[in-house]
Amino acid sequence: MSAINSEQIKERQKRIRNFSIIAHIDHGKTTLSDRILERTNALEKREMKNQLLDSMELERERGITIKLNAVQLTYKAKDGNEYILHLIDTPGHVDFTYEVSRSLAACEGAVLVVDAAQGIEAQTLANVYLALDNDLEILPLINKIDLPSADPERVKQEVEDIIGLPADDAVLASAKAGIGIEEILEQVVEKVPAPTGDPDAPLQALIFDSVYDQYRGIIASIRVVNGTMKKGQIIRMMATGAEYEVVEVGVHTPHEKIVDYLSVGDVGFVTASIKDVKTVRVGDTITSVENPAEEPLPGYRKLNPMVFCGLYPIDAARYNDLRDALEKLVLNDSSLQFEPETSQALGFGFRTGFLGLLHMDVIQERIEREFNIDLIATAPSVIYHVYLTDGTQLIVDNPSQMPEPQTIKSIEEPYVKASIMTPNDYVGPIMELCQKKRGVFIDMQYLDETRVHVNYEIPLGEIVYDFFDQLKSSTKGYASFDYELIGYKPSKLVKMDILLNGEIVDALSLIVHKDFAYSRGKVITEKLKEIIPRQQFEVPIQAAIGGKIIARSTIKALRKNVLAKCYGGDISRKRKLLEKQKEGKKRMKSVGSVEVPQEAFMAVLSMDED
Amino acid sequence: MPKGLYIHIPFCDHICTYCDFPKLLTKGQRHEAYIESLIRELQHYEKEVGFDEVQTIYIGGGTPTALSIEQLSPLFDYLAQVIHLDQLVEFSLEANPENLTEEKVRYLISQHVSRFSLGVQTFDETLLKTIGRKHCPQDVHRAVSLLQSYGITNINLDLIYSIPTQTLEQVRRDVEEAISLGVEHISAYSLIVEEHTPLYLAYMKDQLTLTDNELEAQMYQLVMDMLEKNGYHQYEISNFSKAAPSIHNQWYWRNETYFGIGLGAHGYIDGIRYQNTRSINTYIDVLTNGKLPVIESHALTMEERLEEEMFLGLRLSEGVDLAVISDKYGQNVEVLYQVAINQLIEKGYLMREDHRISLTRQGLLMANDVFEQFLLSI
Repeated sequence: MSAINSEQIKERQKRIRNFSIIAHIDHGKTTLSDRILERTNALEKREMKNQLLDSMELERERGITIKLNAVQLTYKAKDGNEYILHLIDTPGHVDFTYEVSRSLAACEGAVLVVDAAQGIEAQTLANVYLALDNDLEILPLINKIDLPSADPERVKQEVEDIIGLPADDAVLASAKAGIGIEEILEQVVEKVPAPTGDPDAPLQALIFDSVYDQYRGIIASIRVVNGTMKKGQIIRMMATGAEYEVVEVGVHTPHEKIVDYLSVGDVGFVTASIKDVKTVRVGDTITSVENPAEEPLPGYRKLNPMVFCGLYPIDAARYNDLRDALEKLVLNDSSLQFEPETSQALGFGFRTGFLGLLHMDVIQERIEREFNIDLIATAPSVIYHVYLTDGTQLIVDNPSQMPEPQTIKSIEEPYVKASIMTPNDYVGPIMELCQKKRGVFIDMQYLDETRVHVNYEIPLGEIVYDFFDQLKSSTKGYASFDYELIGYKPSKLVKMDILLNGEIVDALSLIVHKDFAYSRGKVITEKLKEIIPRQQFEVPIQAAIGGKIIARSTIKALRKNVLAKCYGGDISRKRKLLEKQKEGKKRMKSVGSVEVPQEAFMAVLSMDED
Repeated sequence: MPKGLYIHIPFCDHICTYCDFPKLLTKGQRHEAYIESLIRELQHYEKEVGFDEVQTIYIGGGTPTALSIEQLSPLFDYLAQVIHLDQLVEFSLEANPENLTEEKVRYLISQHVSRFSLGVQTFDETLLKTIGRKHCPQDVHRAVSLLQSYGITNINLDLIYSIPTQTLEQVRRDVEEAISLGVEHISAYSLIVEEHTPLYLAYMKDQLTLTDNELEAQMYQLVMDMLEKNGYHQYEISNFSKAAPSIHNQWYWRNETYFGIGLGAHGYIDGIRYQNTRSINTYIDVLTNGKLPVIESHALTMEERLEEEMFLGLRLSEGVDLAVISDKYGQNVEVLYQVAINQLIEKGYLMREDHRISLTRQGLLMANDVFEQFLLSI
């Protein structure tokens, strides 16, 4: 390897720009990323598949970004110099605030994408504030200006009024049509400061992500803040003390490219044959053993899970695979928590904690797709604080573990402040929904003539039920929603058990507000009746509170199940039907003697008689 | 070499609301070209496989009788050249009661058609409307008398039960009326609302309610009881006969091979199950270009053959002989399915006599739960 010239490195450092893109879902972040990649010739045209940065199948399907990616690009600016740009992707959804803060910690600037028609959304705001907290230079970009409904001037005004950022220089763009790409790249070069660290100082590299590769061990995504990292160097993880020899350092262009070294401002990856996943923590600082840094870099805000559910493999034999899958996922998502739990109905599984509902959804889907494990997820729960009559306090995150009612003095549940941004036409339905969810009105602010910001205090436990869906349907999708935890408050809560065929199914137990118990019990027993297929015998479904039955329904026995249809010589079709039937049963969980499909465990979420 | 030959005539004068077989409105279709193509397809199999062992022919649809004698005759002429039609053990043809004319009956008999299957479905005029049939109950009586007057006794009536809104009483009347006609054979199928049918669309729009599972079970039992009591032996899940079970249809259940000729037809030759295209234009074009219209074919593994031997054979009231099957497949089927068979016997779904297992009455009702147990790979 050629000797590394410190002067060259410092010269190069001046031409590095690290930035990310902040945008609300659907405001066009991914398209913009694609155009930037195209414009900087990072990829041949034929390699461009839409939405290149969203590499997970799931991301592309849902059109959301979950995991971050970082790409090194070279851009020849109008000043004649060639710049090294690192574009660090950020997730857009509120549940992934944690990941946003991680990527922002690796940047000096952020492009704020705002939809020229829809304006600023609540989520965008949350991420802008995160960026401002990180002292990032923010470059507003008004996207989709070619839409008939675009109103860039109004949106500019909004940026100034709401965020307080000067928007005169905001780039007017249409990522889809390729308008404004050059301008925003120029602004990145001009306005985003070059990284300020010292290449001669002891090594400090922030780990902002990591993935596990079967052959190479952990691949850690890093941002070098001070010093230089190269092959052969002995490095130390400052939090865990583990030491390794660097095998390779590199960048993504977006193709993987091994480089001689990573220095100040570089955003790339390092591998060091690290097989023990526990030694590398996202947020930790890597230093060199030879010339160690005195202090680790400040980590970033670590968020605690707010929503919990039980995850069980349908096939009990895959319990260990499920644990491996969760361990691999925790690697680059330390907000995910899990610990073993046992259910009488479902066997061995894990109580798993998530930042929010989408996070929960995404993790479940990733386990099913990437690890190919069929899962049963119990309905999400929150953490309850339970005060017993004997003076002890319990933390309950699993409804089935709620103590007997006579031993409980009081229960507290977490509340969130829900901020809903909506066109004023929908204020009525939103308030109705919030009331139904036991919400307490705080205030309402008009952002302009047409848009309103409605604030409510709502129990988190109500949000984890179908709040998102209901909000979407009652506002035709126009409202956006954000929430933050504000603390615990006492509530009249009770545990409701669900009995199938006379036996309590612990995985179906739930905590409900006393005043809503009867109606919920009725809805749930009816819903289960729809979801659980007829069995070869009659199955009663009951909802009970402390042994008292409050609602019931009955699944009638299946009396006829035979292909008594004229299929002629079409035997393949008969076979397919039988295969489908048998596979369907395999995907169900035997609870006692009742075959229960996966969805049933989420049925306790349903709120309406529909 | 296959013993059965199925030929599909897809044309219908009107479309029944439940039908998901390949079918086309008769009007404005390329009938001549279609029959020519049928003959081309037959020629191919005659040359490549041979019709030497063909014992039964079944012409189904669609509605074979929707075509005129002139339109049908090239097909029969060709068949007469390659097969001794007078020596067939069974030559069946499906007919709709309303377009079976005396002239057609005479012609078909002259071509050695020996068994007629009439699509009756129900004798209730309202229910006939629900399922989109255009005949009236009198047409059935007329068609049966017509056939009988020409000495045809091997007549089947197709009935359908569990039609939306149908009551148990209506089923009773249908079966009674069918029995009163004194036919040899009755098939009673339960209505399945299949996707891509008018009935399915109505169901999706909440315009009809499906028959409750419990009622459907009662209907099936009523059908079985009534027919058995009147001398119709139930030899298969949906099929009843006095003395002459359909020979052709039994090829399917006995896992025998058969040719499938025509639009969307299914065949089973030399361990390969295949299906023809359902597009008439493709069908005609491909055959005109000297190729076969097969769109899907699958060579069964030994395991799949064995599975099918079991779940098809169990449809027959005589069931399957495990010793015979063990010999045929060179492995001990008793051991292979021991757990499944014992469980099913314990549940009361299967009964056993020496090496022979067959469905019980309860097993007939829940046959799918029995059959799936014989799939090995899931």
